[in-house]
Amino acid sequence: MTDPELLQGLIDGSPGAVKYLVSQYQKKVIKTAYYFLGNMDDAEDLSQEVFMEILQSVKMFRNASSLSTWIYRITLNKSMNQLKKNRRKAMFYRIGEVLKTQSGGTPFAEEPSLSEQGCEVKENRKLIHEAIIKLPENQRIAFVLHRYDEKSYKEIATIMNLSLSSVESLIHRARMNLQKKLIKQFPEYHNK
Amino acid sequence: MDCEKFKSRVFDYCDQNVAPEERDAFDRHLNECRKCSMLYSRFSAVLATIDDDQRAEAPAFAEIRMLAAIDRQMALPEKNPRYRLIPAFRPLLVMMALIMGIFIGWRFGMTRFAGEFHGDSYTGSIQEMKSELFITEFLDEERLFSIDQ
Repeated sequence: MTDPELLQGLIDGSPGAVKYLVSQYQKKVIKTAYYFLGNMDDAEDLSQEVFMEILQSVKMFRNASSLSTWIYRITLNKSMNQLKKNRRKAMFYRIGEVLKTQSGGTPFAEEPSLSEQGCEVKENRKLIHEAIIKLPENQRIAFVLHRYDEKSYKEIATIMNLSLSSVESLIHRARMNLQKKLIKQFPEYHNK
Repeated sequence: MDCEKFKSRVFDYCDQNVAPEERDAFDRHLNECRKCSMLYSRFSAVLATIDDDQRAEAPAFAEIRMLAAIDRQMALPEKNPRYRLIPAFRPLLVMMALIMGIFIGWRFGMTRFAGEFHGDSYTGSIQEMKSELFITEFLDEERLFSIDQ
């Protein structure tokens, strides 16, 4: 099915077109959302929102970009919004924890026991994820699309609606910032 | 090559993003400096998690769940566009209620408890009324106490 046929099918509300859309793009959407959110369950929930949005606004799609670019943009916007929500939630959670500790409750729930290696991998993943989250939004998007999603600079430029040189500069700055943030997180390097 | 130079290019080195002649200098420095060698191993371990994440698969049956969710959503009646606007006005309504509450409270306070003479009756403030009652009660108790004695 070509993109125009798929779009027409979606506008007409054809179940076959919806099924084809989901089979073609769902995995990509989930993976991209996962790279930003760092949690597969959240990524799957977000992918449902993305497809709802696609189906609701397909009539407004103007063919200014390809269908996949448009889907990417929706996924990025939703992921960024979700990250902001998560940040707010985390703040309230931290306040709740502080209050709980002050009132004599347990500060943290016990974590399930993990092997030492699994723990280290988890810790490393957390380190880079937190460092990526702290990057400015444009740098974060460009870096994730390039490093995780393996998109070329040209594809990123199209998705983000930027020039090639801007994307190069964004990715370079993102790498430098990440380097700084990660080195700061290695106390053993500063102590010895 | 010194530690500062290594630190400033460690990301590039891990990504094999350095020229071959530079790479030799990096390798030599790593063999000599324990601190940078440790930094390199920590940094590359962190970057390796990106490769792990790239291999992550979407959950099983996600497609079936998605199609079911779409079906459910399509079966719902479309919301009246008028009601979609309500959440946007919610903060405004709360503000208006708050301002009205303050205004009513202020007006009520002015007329009922301000402690003014109305004709021949005196309506004192709550504080005055309380202290007046308390003093009377206190005096009564004192009188009773002295009678008992």
